[in-house]
Amino acid sequence: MTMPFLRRALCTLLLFILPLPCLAASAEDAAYRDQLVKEAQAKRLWEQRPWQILLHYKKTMTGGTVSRISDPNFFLSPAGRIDPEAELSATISAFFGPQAADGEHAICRFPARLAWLKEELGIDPARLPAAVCSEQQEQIRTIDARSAVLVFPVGHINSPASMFGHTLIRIDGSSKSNLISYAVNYAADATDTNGFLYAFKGLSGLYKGYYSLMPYYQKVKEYSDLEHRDMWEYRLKLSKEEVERMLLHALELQRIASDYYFLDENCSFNLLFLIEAARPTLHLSDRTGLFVLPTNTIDIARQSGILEDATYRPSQGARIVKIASLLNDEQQQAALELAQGKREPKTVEAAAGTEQEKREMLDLVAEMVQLRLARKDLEQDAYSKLYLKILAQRSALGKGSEEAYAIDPPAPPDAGHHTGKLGLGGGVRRGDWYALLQLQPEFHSLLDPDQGYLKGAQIKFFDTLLDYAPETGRPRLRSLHLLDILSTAPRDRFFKPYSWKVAAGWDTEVMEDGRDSLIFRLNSGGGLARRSPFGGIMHAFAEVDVNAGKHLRGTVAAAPGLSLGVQEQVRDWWKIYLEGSAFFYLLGDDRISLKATLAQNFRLAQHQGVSLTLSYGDVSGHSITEATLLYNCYF
Amino acid sequence: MKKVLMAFALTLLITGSAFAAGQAHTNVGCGLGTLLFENKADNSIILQALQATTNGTSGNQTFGISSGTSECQQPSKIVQNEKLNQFVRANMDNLAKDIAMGKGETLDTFVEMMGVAPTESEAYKAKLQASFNKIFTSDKIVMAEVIDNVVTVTNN
Repeated sequence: MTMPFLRRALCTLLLFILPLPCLAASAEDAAYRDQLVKEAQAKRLWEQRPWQILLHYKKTMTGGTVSRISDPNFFLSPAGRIDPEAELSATISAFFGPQAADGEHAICRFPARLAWLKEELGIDPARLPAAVCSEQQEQIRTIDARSAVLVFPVGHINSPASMFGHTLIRIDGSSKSNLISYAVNYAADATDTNGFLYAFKGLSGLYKGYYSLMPYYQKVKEYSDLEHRDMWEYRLKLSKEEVERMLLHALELQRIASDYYFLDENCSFNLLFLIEAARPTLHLSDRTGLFVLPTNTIDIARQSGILEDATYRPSQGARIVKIASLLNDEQQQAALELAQGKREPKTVEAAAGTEQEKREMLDLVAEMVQLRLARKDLEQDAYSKLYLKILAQRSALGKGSEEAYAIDPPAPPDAGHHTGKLGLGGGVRRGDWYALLQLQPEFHSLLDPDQGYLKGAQIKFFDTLLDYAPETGRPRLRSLHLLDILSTAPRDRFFKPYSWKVAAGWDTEVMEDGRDSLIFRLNSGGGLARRSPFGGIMHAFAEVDVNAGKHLRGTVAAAPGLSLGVQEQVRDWWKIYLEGSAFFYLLGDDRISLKATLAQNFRLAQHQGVSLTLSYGDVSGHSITEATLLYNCYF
Repeated sequence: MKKVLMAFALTLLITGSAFAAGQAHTNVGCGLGTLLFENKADNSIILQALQATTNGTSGNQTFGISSGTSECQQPSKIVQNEKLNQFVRANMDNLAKDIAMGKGETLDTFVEMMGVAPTESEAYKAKLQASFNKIFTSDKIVMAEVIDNVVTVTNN
């Protein structure tokens, strides 16, 4: 047992004096190495799923194999990216390679591969070279992996920079608190602030993606405190051994670059490999569709039976709304003035209200002062002074009720509809009947049920409507929206966000002469939104609409316009969207278009519903009524 | 390339520390309100729209179990516990808030890291709350002082 070790120690010493005995001695190691390589080949280990997962191999269209990772540092064989067998042999050989600097030996660089091969081939650890991996050992000891959690920070409510949300994995150790657990995150190394460049590079895979590891509290601060995004935490049903395997694979991916594609090979998709590495019998990464959204990851994991129920971690924004809801108007206003430094914290003592309400006021103020710093509304020095003054005042009031601040969790993301929608039905437009087909391949419209989604936000891609009227005898494209985003963020005493929309695509519109015509449209607008008395959201937008089409007076027309909308989730199963708009096409056309729409959605099941839309329009004196009924299936 | 980067990093470090020295022990990044936000992207609506369509999130190559507190003054009254130092440094604002409120997740984590037995944690949290002014003695307070003050309060 100790012989090889002694010999190796001796070798290291002798290396400086006499290289020869070492080379001679390693002939035995070489024989062992060759024997293992042969054995691996005989067992065709490279074909086995764990190897395929650890190297991120996928099948190519021509039947070959290629790794999704392009970084040459991830491979030990020059052909490793496309040749699993060569990579396997090279990996075994590299484990018997010469001494290397701390952390640089293949044994340190590829711990998950080593662990698997040790099991498969029964490699005698004593016969492996003694590699020094001090950083890795420190990481493994500190993280102390016991269990893992899939974390889903939802989209952004005030500024929907990432309406789809995000996913990351948290690895828990032995401590009770999970703030000091570690988070494994996959993200693009994107530093461009030019939006167009950012989008272009992101879509075309020009950004590099990296896995990163950091204390979970950093992520909680980022999402919960800074961006005001609620977080959902799903514990994974993985054993300690499986979680250890996951961590080893995450360590292998340290500083390894992969091409980041925002739509499919993104943050969420790449986390699936970690779960597969933990339990190779799971098939997750090969079950994804066209786009991979964070909610898809949750769905896939849920279907494979490894998710426990979600735990809700409300954001600072949700906390502020909750605490404010416990206070009356006057107290809320006082809290706002305290946070703005217009009122002395001491005045709370004399203010009207119970002891508990005074606590609530000061707690609200403390959150608001933090928020003002984050919004750069307050300088750091002024912040520290004000913050401590508020807290000192608060500390004299005791703990107070803990239940009062408990926030009822909304429906978790896995309770939401699937992200694709197919609708079948029919309608009547200006007295003519037609059959209607809708395909909304991605995400969520304002009319879809709120459950599991960010309220007031809509993102649609390639939303397509085809109709078929028996008289014409052929299907007709009614509309195709390449992109349609609308974000309504309600304003209140504490938050003053703007709402906005942007859409591009083809639509059938009535022309000045009263005929229907397919036009290309670019539409954008901005405005304000408020909570309605019934819990919904009302918005008012100023918009600009640019049209291009054959039947316009010019080929291009532009119009200023106004729109008003109300969305109400009346019951769990019933949603209403009411909209009115007016556009004045005075540039490039002579048309005034007025429209009012009442749309309703009835949720039948998580992935099924019926929608009924009634609309009335008036275009330069031509009136248009239309009604459609669709049965929708989410897939 | 590595050498160039090293040289660059060293230059930054030197100018950085010279700058810090000029500010006479303010312990930049070790006090309140300092670690709340780091390189946030610009928040223009157009960028948001495009980010919304691209499911983007920016990250970096950090693969650290620690962010390190070597540039901060170190606590004197406790056996060196780097994990605790890091936690207090990175969460000082939330910790102050939780201590003032006598409850909260950051406080629970802190109490656990201080090695307080679960049965005693409620009493300990109440003690910290009652001693808020002895712990957060000034708005210029830094991580090391917070920990030292907590230790003093604990031992009294």
